[in-house]
Amino acid sequence: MLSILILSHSPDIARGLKEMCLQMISGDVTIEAVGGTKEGNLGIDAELVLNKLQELMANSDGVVVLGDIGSTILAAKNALNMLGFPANVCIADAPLVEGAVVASVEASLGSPLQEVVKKAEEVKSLNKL
Amino acid sequence: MMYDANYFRRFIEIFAKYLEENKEYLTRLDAAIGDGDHGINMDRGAKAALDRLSSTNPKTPGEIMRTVGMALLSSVGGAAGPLYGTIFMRMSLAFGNRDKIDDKNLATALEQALLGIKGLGKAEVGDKTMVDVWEPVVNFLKENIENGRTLPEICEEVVALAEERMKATIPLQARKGRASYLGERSIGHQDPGATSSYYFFRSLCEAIGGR
Repeated sequence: MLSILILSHSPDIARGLKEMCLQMISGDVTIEAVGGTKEGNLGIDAELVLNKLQELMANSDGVVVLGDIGSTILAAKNALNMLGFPANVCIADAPLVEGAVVASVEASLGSPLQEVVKKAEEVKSLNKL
Repeated sequence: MMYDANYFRRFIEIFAKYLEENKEYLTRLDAAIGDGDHGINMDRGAKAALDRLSSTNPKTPGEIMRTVGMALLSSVGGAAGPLYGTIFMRMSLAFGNRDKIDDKNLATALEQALLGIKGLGKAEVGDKTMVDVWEPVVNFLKENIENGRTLPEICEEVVALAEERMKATIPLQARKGRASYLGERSIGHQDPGATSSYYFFRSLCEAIGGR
C-alpha cells in the first residue's frame, strides 16, 4: 500500500486537495496533506513535513510526495536529506493539483511507486484544450 | 581560537537580535521581490530557537546548532526554514560531540552548510540568493584558516566581504525562488536571503567579543 503526501504553502489548498483526492480513490491508499505554518498562515512547517513523512514511511510501502511552490519542495528535500534518502520515498516533479489526483488514482489501482510517480509527472505535458 | 558552547549561544543571541531589529527591513526587501514574509519568518524562527535553547538547555556546540536547526525548520515557514535549518543541522553534524570547536572545525562546518544549501536549492553564485554571500565568504574563511589565520584576526574582512556580496545582489536578476517569477523586474532590489546571511556572518564575528 502506498501513501501520497500533499504539501502546500496554503493550508486551504492542502486540505481541499486532500479532499479531492480522497473522493477519487477506490482502493487502499493513504493520503495526507501538510500546508501552512503552525499558526495556520501561508508557509510550511518543515519539521511537521519530516515527522509526517516518517509516519507514512512506517505505515506504508512507499510515499509519493507532491508540493506546490519552492518552500514545500525544499521542505520535502530537507526531510529526505535528514532521513538519508530512503528508497521508498519519491518527490514527483509534477503540478500539485493534477499530479496529486493522478497519483492518488494510480496508487489506489495498486501500481508500484515508480509507476505512480511517472504517471503524476506525465501530467506536466497534459493538454487541457 | 577555541569556540565553546557559550560562544555559539552568544552567536545565536546576536543573530536573533539582528533579525528582530531588522524584521521590518527584511520584510520590505522581500515584499519588493518575494512574498514579503522573510523578516517576520526569520524573527519568529529565531525566537523559537531561543525558546528551545532555554527549555532544553543543550550542552555542546553540536547540540546547540541541532536545537536551533530543528526550531528553524518548524517555525520559519518559508523557503528560509529548510535552508537555514540545513545550515544549522549540517554544522551540528560537522561539530559532532566536541566540547570545543577550533577554527578548522568551524571552517569545515560552514563549508558543509554551504554544500547543504547549494544541494537543497540548486542555486549558484549570481542567482541572487543567499549563496551569493555564503560561497565567497566561506571560501575566504577556509582559505585564510588553512593558511593559519583565525576568525578573530579576519573578522573585519569577513564582515566587509559579506556586506559587499550582499549589496552586489542588487543589480542581479533572480534565477531562483519566488523572485525569479518577476524576471527582469527583480533587478535593482537587494536579496533578502543574502541580507539575512550577512547578519549571520556578522553575528558569528561579533560573538567573539560579545556585541
